[in-house]
Amino acid sequence: MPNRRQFLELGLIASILPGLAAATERSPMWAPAASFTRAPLYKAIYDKSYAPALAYAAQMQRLGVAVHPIDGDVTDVWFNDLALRWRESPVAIAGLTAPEALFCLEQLAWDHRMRVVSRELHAQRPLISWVIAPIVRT
Amino acid sequence: MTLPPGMSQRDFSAALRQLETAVGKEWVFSAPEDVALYRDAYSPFWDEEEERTASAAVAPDTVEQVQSVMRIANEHRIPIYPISTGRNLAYGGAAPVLSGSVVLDLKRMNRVLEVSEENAYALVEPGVSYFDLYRDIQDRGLKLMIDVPTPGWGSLIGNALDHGAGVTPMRDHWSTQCGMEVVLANGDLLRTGMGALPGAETWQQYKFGVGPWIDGLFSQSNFGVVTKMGFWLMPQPDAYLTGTVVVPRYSDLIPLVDTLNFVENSGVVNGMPQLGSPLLGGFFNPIQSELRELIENGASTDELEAYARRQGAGYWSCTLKFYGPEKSIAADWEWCQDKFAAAIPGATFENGEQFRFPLSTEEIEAITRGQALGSRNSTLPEFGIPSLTMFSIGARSATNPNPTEGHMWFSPIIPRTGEAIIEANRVFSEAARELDLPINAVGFSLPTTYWNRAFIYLFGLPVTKDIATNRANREKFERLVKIVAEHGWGEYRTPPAFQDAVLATYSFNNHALRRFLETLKDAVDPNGILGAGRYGIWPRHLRGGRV
Repeated sequence: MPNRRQFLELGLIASILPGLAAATERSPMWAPAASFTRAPLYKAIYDKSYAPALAYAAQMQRLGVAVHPIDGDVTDVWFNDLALRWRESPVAIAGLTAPEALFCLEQLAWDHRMRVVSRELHAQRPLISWVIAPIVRT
Repeated sequence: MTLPPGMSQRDFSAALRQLETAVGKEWVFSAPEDVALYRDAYSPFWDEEEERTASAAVAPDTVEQVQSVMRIANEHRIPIYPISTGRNLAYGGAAPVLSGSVVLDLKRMNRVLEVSEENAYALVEPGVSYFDLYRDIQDRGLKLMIDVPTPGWGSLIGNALDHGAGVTPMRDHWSTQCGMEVVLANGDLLRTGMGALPGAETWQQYKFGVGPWIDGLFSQSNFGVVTKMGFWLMPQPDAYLTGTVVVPRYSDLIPLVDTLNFVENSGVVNGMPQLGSPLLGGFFNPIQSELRELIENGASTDELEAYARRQGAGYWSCTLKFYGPEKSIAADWEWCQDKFAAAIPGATFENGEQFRFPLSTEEIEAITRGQALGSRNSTLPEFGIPSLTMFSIGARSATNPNPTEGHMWFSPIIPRTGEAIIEANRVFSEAARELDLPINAVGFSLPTTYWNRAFIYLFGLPVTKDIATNRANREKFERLVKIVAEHGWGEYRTPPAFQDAVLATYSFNNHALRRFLETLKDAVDPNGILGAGRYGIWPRHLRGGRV
């Protein structure tokens, strides 16, 4: 989580973090907060091999967030989408994926001054719910 | 906060202010949450006192800024540790060898400076990744193929400097480099090869210039910061073809390797061959229970051969890969079949895959899907396409219920003979039993064929977040280094934790090599500020009592 020296560039992200926390064992099927209608997210990435991730994607789409499926591998979403978008400016993404996909995206995000600002284990292992967002120094 | 050894917080802060002036305040990182990004994700010292951590990081954008950093480091005696993109996972990542070093992060220097289609070369900065160069070539529609390692997110320069490899005809990345620019420890700027000639028009075409060829001094070392490097590329071939040789008997391994050497060293097979055995299974196809039982019960070679015959599978296989004109490579494969058939009675042949370049989107998608599912077919790197797929292959799945949290490569080089493979397996099996290591789990491992003239074994020893396990595995790693050295084999590359131990095995004539490297180090970096300890080369003031 960001410390006091930092704040989330996209303030609305902060408002959905409690919603993401619901993706833990207490609530296997994450329901994004109802107030999260003006999605500040650039995209939500989900692993289509897992049923909870499919449900997550459907909910994100209903909320107007663009989604991108992966099948474990982030190469396509990285090379054809995020690398180009982040080259222009860092923008927040969220996801429900296996840890290995997050590992790759986190490392790549660091190069664009972005950080994982939320990371919650999902009840269905090995899924993990996460948000990557830009940070700026205060 | 970690500080450079022997430096006060006050002095370090003053130095950081100077670095901020040199590169811009926003590109000097000293806050703990920023410096933490330079931890090695696969560190075998994770969370231990000995974990190698940085004191700060500085990310210059130009060669002139790198020179300024060197001068400031000399003034303050600050240890500097250069990284390109810091993705050398399993061989050290972004973390310095010496704790307290300031990481010199070159990722902002990510310009593709030149690509020549006519002469098939590129000139790049250290922050250029394989993805970056691939994109540049695709965007410009150039008919060139690059060679990529797996994964493809690392730096061309970093990978070449560490002697990395890929799978296509240009897979020996160090051999394909041609001309470099280097900032020396004192801030001076050097160009190698033809680059030393002002106005040179052949910097990326002729490697040697005149006089001693010194490029090698900057690989796996700490004599300078490479800020530009040329690479030879391959014109996009017309076609790609694979074919597999299958041989029936255990003893056939020896003529199989001899013949493989012949067809490769003749220049006929130009892709990276793949040795295999239906008896060994693989990551996605664990060996059958009947076979496992045979192996665990110490089955004889005759029994294993009989098992292979029952399966109609052969004992060994070797997949050959060809790049070139369609008709030529078809003829090359036919010629290879003649050679193997003459050398090995009972050898059989299977035609493999055929592709024409450029691949279609559908073909790329199919290859990607196959790769993710563990297909034995060719993968994206075979076509010069970078990918991150290997991370998903290592993910938790039905065949891999307990994925590791990282690994460290133990990677010895052995002779390119069948006899050496057999002897290496005897040694590795003995070591696995002695050290209770998960290598040679099925009793036999085959080497990788990055290089035409020597084999390399790659064993990924697990790295965990458990301190006791990591300590035990480090001890086992060091024991392995000694065991292979006792047999005349040495590692080609190793994580920082073992670089001292590995260099110590290259000990001919009372460590003449290390003594020579230290003499050079003292001459070109008298203050010992650059890359302290990298590949066992320490500056004088950090050598302790060792002579």
